[in-house]
Amino acid sequence: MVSVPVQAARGGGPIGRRSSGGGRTRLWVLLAAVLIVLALTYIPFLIVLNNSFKSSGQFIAHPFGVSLNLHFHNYVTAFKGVDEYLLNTIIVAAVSVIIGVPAGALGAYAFAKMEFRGKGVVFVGYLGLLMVPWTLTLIPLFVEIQRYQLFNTWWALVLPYAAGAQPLNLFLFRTFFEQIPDELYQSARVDGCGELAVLRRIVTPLAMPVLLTGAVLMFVDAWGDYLWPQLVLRDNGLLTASAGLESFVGTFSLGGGIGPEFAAYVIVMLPIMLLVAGMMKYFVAGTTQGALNI
Amino acid sequence: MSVATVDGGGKKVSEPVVASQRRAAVRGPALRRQGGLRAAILLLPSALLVLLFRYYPAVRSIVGSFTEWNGFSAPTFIGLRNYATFLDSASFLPQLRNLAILFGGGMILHLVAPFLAATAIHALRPMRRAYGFAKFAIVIPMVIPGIILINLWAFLLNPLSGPVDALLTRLGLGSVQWFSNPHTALGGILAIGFPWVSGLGFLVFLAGIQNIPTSVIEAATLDGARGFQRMLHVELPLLIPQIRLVVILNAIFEIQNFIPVLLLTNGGPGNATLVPGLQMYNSAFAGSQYGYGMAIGTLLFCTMLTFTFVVLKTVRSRVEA
Repeated sequence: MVSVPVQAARGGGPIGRRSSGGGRTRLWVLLAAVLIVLALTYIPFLIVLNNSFKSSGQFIAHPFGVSLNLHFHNYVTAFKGVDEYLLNTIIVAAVSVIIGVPAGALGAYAFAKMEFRGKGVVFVGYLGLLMVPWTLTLIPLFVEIQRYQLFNTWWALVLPYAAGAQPLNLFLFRTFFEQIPDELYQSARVDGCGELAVLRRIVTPLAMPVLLTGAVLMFVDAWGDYLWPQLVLRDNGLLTASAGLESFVGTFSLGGGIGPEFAAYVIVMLPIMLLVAGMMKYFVAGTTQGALNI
Repeated sequence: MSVATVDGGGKKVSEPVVASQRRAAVRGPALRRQGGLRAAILLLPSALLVLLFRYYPAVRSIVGSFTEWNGFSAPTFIGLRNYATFLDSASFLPQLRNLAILFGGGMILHLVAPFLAATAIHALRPMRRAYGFAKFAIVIPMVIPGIILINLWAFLLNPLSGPVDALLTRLGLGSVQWFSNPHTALGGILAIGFPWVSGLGFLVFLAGIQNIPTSVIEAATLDGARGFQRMLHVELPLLIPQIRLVVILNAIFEIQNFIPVLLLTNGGPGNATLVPGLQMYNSAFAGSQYGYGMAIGTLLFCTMLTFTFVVLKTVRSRVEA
């Protein structure tokens, strides 16, 4: 009702035209401002990229200049230094996902579709986890890992990663399972499917996107974790991306390996950036929903 | 949603009685008892992980904070002495001050910058391509490993070879020894991630702004509220839940985030950048004072819990009240 006269004014009246013209200008100004902020965000990474192609001599002579004499060899050196860590991270993250996602999905299914005594209490138990900070558990978890003989093994990463992802996975998956209509489960049960068969044949294919969301977030976390791997892994060859990168960079003396050092940054950040770029929808949905669950 | 088509609303209307009877049969008391066991089995893997690797260490930390323990021999109960030692230590006040600066500074930067970015990018929506691009470009840096950001900013702020100092020198402002000067070290740490727009807060705010009904914005615009005015009086009050959430998430992050300090200055020069998190880490893993470290960890936990509780109780909008 209200929109009709407004539309009329916008279409015909001089006031409407002027305001929409002003809106257009404002949009362009806004776009310029956003692009400037984006440029500021990305300039540091362009500096990394630029330096990653320089030899030490080029860097010392022109630390900020762009040189077209590109030293691709830096990337060969850097890749030889960090390839092992990248592979380690992929294995660790994949195993964490293989344990953490199904565990969360099974639990979420129980919460979404079954009635049981103590449901509320158990759920509060998961909610409470959001208030358990990693600094509180850091020291005892380290001792626990040693006691279980998991020190210096990938299990020291995999099990805490899978456990740490439980609250988020559980909330994400539960919300999704609740949206699947009961009739679908019941028709499957009538056809003689057991609970696990229902989960495998009906729920899993439908839930693929949300399961993928959980997996992507676990990969991002494993990729970015520095403190824990360097604490529980003694063998340099077992380290994952962030801790391994720091170890690789530390092998250069000041200024000596500036090119390979920056090339290594590019090599380590590129895969995870590409993964998230490709799965942007899932990443945004998971991160936003995860935050809103608090 | 492909799921919705399966529901086929028409069936519900034509056979409401049958559907409800069937539902009652499935959720009946007999099945509920059976369901208890089945639910327990389904929950077991997740619950086991959580109990072993989240709850057990958390409880262990609180209990261990009352003991003296080197990590190997049996711990001895010493009551509140760890807490007293920490609060009495000469570095406690500097630590509190440093945490307050990093907490306050970080809170403002990581609240205001993502909020402005989300508002601006949301307003770009009429230009669909630009909107999509800007959103994409701001989310990508969120997943860059923290260690790379820290090293990158150590390089950018390096007084010998860093571009920031070259810029300052060219502007005639002179060189700054960012991390070796006690007055600028905390500022250097806060600078990491400039211009701070790319973060969890951005996504939370953007989702919140998208949820504001267009009719509200249109009505406000018709009433003459525009630009900054409208943001202050219309959008801001409607986004109180999101702001509260980002404040809590930022607080949890800032109170614990000692990794930049560990890598850039290790608390120095002197105690100029020492924070409780780093003190906890070093006590345990460099000094083998596990009980003492756990006491600091427990104090941080209590601080976070209190802060969250207070924010949840006090920050409310007129709409919610």
